[in-house]
Amino acid sequence: MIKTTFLAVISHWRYRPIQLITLVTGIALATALWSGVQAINSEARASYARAASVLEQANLQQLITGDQQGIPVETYASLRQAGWKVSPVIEGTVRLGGKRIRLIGVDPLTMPQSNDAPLVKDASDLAEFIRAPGVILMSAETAAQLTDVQGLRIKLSPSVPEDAAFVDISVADRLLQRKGKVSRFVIAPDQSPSLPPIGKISPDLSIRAGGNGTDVSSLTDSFHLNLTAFGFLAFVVGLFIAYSAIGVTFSQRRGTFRTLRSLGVSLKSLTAILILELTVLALIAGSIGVAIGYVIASFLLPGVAATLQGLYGASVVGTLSFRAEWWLAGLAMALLGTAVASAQSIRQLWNMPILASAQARSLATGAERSLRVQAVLGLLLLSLAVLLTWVQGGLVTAFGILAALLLGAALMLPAVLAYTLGRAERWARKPIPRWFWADTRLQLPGLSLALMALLLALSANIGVGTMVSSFRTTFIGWLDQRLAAELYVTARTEEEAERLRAWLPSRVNTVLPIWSVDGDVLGKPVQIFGVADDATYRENWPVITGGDDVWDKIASGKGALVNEQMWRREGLKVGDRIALPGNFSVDVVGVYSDFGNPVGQVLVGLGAFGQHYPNAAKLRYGLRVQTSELDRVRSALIDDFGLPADAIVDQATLKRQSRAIFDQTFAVTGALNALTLAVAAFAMFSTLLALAASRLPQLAPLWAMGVRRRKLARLEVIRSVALWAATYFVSIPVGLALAWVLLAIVNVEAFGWRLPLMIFPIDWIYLGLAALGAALVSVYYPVRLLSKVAPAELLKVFTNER
Amino acid sequence: MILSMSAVTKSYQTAEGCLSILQGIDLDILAGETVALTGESGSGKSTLLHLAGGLDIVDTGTIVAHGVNITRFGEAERAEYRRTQAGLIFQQYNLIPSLTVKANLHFHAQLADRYDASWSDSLSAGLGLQGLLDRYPDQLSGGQQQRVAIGRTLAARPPLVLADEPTGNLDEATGDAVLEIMVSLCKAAGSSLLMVTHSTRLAAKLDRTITLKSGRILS
Repeated sequence: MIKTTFLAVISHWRYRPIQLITLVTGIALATALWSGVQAINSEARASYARAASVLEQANLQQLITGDQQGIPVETYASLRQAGWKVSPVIEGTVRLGGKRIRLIGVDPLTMPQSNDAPLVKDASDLAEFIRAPGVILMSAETAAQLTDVQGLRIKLSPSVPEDAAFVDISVADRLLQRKGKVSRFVIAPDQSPSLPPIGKISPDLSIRAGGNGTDVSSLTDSFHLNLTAFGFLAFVVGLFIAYSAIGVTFSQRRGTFRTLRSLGVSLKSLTAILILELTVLALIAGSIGVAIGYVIASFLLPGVAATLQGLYGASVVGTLSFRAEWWLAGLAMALLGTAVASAQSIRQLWNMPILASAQARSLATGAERSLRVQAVLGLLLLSLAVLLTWVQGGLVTAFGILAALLLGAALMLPAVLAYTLGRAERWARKPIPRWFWADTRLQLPGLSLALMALLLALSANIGVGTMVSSFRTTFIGWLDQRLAAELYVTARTEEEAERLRAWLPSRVNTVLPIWSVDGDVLGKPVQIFGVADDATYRENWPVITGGDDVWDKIASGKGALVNEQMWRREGLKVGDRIALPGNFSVDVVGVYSDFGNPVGQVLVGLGAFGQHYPNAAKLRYGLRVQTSELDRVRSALIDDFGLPADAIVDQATLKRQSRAIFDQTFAVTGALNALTLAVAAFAMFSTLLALAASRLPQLAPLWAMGVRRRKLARLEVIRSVALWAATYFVSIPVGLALAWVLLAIVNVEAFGWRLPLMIFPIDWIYLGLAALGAALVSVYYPVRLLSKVAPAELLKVFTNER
Repeated sequence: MILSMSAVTKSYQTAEGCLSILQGIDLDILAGETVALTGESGSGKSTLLHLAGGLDIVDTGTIVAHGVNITRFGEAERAEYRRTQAGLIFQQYNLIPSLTVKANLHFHAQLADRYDASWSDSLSAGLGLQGLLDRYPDQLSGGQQQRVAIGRTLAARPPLVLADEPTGNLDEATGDAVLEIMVSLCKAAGSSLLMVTHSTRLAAKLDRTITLKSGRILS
């Protein structure tokens, strides 16, 4: 019996192949975008873990210090004498041939064997590594970008992440000019049981546990959460297609279900068979979805890698490896999604009396009740969004606000449209317009899911687009302020820098040193910059909080400016005193915006900086010159002074590069936006196609009363476009609210900076035109079917016999 | 003469080949006349009605309505003809589910630009629909829905009313009552009526009966 029933149930698909395609496509698209995003996330996280394992030996315990100057080599001797098996590491950033790379100097003789540093395999490797002039170990990609390696022999290793290199510790000491100061110690896992505590040997040292999340992985959490949110949004939009398709197929098979039940198939058996059918379909569609997701992820991963590099300096391998866990997770999501999408249809099946037959209007009456319930639920969710905005509290709450806002707006949409259509019907005087509005209201329950999906996609487009455009406009203005100097030069050595300092003053208007050191402030890594007392800063620096005398206090060495992200993260106030490395305490006198920088930054007066950090590299300078003198100064720097061309960058080039990085950073967002909109357009297309089959009985009476097929088809197009337009107009305020949440809450929580909300109506017009195009595409085929329907098909509606 | 059909043939292409439905129909209906069209299932009653209503087109022969040959009409003219000259009533009522009873009643008349409030009011009174005007079709019984369908057609005062088994879905008593109302209102509107029915009892209530058999008129 089961087999016979199963065959009867699935025979539906033979007559409705397009519905089958729609259902499978819906589940596949939902799964594809979700698993694509998950594939990117897991690949990126695996990259961080690999990089941390290789570069920082993060799986092992470490000894670290809060002192920016480093750990004296005598401490190393004391540790070894006390029996501690530790290996010293000197690391820092160095400029090699115009490129900055992270240099890690290790001692291959003492480095624990279990670590992932790809150093030496045998004795000959070891000899080569430590013997002068020494080896520099790096990836082929990094090597290809270097023009000068200070006489070191390049050796390639695929396991070294990009923009990093391993050298012997003595080479790192020389290149980084550390004068024997060690950055950290790696603790070997096999230690003697009775060792003296570290605190007794060196009170400045503390132990960092192995296997901790790296700085990069915690920094990028917000980005991945963002991606996951986008993936989930697309998943929900895809589910709407599946929900709609399942609803239509269940309603079309009501007759079959009744017949089967009247023939003795129990409700339980019928339900089990339908669940089996849906499970098989979900597994097939899920597999297709995961495969598509893999392709999407492959396309998006290079963009994501560029984003992570641009925003966080995090290196991610740009190629995708196949992981069984996200294949399985994708299938699980497909099954879960199908279960959610079919729950209501299954419930209706359970409540369906064997003999009753459904009519359009009675279904609509039921739908009106659920519209009211939806509207109330939507209102509650919007209230929750407002409430959460009020309380705020972390990134998860911020995403909670986004979810409540989007879902609340989507749930309220059908009720808003129904109300509007009701008003329009009341205002209409002529019969066709009155029928048009009333009939549109009747179609609303069938179309509402597709419209909700469209609202989500359009709102996301407007919200994210507004956020990106606001960010871009602010960023460009900020670049103009930050990059005030006309030329930027970098000396190759301290000696050259000293010569440069003597050579420049007579040839340019002003020389602005760009000197910095890295260190820990309030337990977090920050960059400390020294700034000259110059009008350039007073006139241009993007200070967002601070009094009129900010620059006087900075110049006096008593005050410091902090960047916005550090200010927000640490809850600092103007007047707070902060302790900088090197026993240097200053008052916070102001805050400045500092976009795209993941770490905190402190600006102090140049005099105080030189006094407290005499060993800081003094290689970089900003030069103020007349625009007309730009080429002459550049030529003189190259020809007369002997600076290589790649050590000089002009303001326009820097801005161009920064804008390119910015645009690349948000390319992924744009791609996901477009994909979500495409899924929503498909949702509308599939819904209209499904509804087209049931439209004939509703349209045939009008045709019989003298309304032409062409006019009916035209009205169908107008109906779709009107609903799209209404949804589009609703999506503008929702999108702007979304943008506000992104700019004022999510960005602050995720990155530490707040951006002003700017309005870009031209973008809305472009989106509106794109939406209109998608509406016309989605309605074209169903309407073409309708306009071409043969009179004989229309007659069947009235005919019981011939 | 309100309708004149001469030598009308109609066939349909089916999986089994060409199926001839009507084979040379000659039929005249006078103004104000009520005519029953009877015959076995498959004899071509509904097809004849659809041709007379401009819903379908003949293979050969001519149909003249109000002195105009409608067989030469294009789609737009046929639509105009259905709007203004022929009113159709179906067994399945075919009301517009999204409109109220009142809106349904006025719909065809407004389409034909013949809406007359007092005539509509008298129709709804005559059809016993006054208490139901704000309801939707699915809130009505079958008999009530068919009365709305009749009212919708007659509100437009078409010269020719074509009814396809209008009482087929109703029980005998309700069917009789609906037919009584339909015939009397057709007379009041000055419309001719051509009604398909299986029932000889109902057919006897009209002025004349025409019987079809295998696509030909028997009497």
